[in-house]
Amino acid sequence: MYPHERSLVKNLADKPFALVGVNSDPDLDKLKPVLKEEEITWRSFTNGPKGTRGPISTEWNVRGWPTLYLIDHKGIIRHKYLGSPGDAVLDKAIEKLVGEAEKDTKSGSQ
Amino acid sequence: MVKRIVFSGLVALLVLPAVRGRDEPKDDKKPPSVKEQYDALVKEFSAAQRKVIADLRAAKGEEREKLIEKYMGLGKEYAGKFYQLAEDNPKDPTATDALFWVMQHGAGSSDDKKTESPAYKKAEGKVTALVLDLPLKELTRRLNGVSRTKSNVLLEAVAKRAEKDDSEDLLAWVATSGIFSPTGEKAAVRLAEKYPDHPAVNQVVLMLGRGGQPGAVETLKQIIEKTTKPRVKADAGFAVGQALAARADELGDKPAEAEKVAAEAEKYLTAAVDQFGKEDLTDKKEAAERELKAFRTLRVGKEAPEISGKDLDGKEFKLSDYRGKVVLLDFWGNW
Repeated sequence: MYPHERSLVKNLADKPFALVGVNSDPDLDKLKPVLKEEEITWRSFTNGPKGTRGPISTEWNVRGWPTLYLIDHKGIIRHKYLGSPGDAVLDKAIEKLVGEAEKDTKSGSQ
Repeated sequence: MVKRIVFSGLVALLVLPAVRGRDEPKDDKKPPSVKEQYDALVKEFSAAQRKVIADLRAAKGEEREKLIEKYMGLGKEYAGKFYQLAEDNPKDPTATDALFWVMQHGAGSSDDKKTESPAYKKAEGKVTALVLDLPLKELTRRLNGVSRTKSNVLLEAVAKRAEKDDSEDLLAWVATSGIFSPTGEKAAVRLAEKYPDHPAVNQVVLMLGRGGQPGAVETLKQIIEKTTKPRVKADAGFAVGQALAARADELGDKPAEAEKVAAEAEKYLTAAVDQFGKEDLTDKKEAAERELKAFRTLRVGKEAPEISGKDLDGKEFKLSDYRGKVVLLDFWGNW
């Protein structure tokens, strides 16, 4: 996942797009060096010391990792994936929603 | 398209085989017996597994992906050796062990029939013939070592033998081992109808609820129709609700169709909450309530619930800070 995520963040840097994580590692001290090595620059919520049983994943009924939600610029859930659907599927879905977001900004309705 | 899901259980799965395999003193003068050769191969295989797991612990990023792939494909690599042992010693009872080993481990990680190894194909033919000949007890014991088979030929053969010998354990094996194929689905319905008390009935119901394959909903509805057990009915109803809820999300691009499926999912989930409540199954009732709530709030087309929490440096932020932008929300972990 990391290489594709890095390229998403880089390629869409000046677009209305953000990658936001919910991290389920219970021990953040162990995670810190990984963030550096893997160049994980995007922001993540921490799911807390209970790891995969933490409050955010429980609230969102997450049962497998990774689980991905694609949310449009109005805050509506548009896609939900248990496991990565593959880079191409994800890229296409994001591209479509980014297009909608840009159109809305231009027409001034946002 | 490769769909990889890392459930928390996978970690345990990768670690487990590491404890197997122990050294035994050997007499070097005699040539090893077939049994000894078989044991040596099993040992070699678990050593190879342990090696990949050790490498996996040290690996990062894409290297990890490759190693997981390698781990999944190890059985296929060894299938040839095991098959050869069986073919060279057809009269030895260990040959049967070797053939069943290939059925359990040798299919490889891919569902693609074209990448099936020749050894697997040949072992499949021999094991299928054995299914008709082996004593019922031995066959049942051996099949219990073969889970989630990818061989439809084997499933069909065992289903026939189950019918012939009126064996509920064999039918249960077809249902659980083949639940993601039409043969397994058919066996599941038959099992629920003919042997309602068999523990595998519950097992297949749970599997069908999680799996999300095309035939799951239909199979579960048939089980509901055929079973006489209120518990099984309730569990199967809940599973139908879960499967339909998942399907509604996949229909995100067809709102009208998604709405129809979602309405049916809601009906089944609500009924499951009621049913579990009536039977005093508190845990199940809570699980169904959680599912129903998640279904209502976390569906495609609904507004994403707010998340307000701390980032990895301890700074507070909110999901709604990103309103105006498309957000890919990624539930992840580095394991």
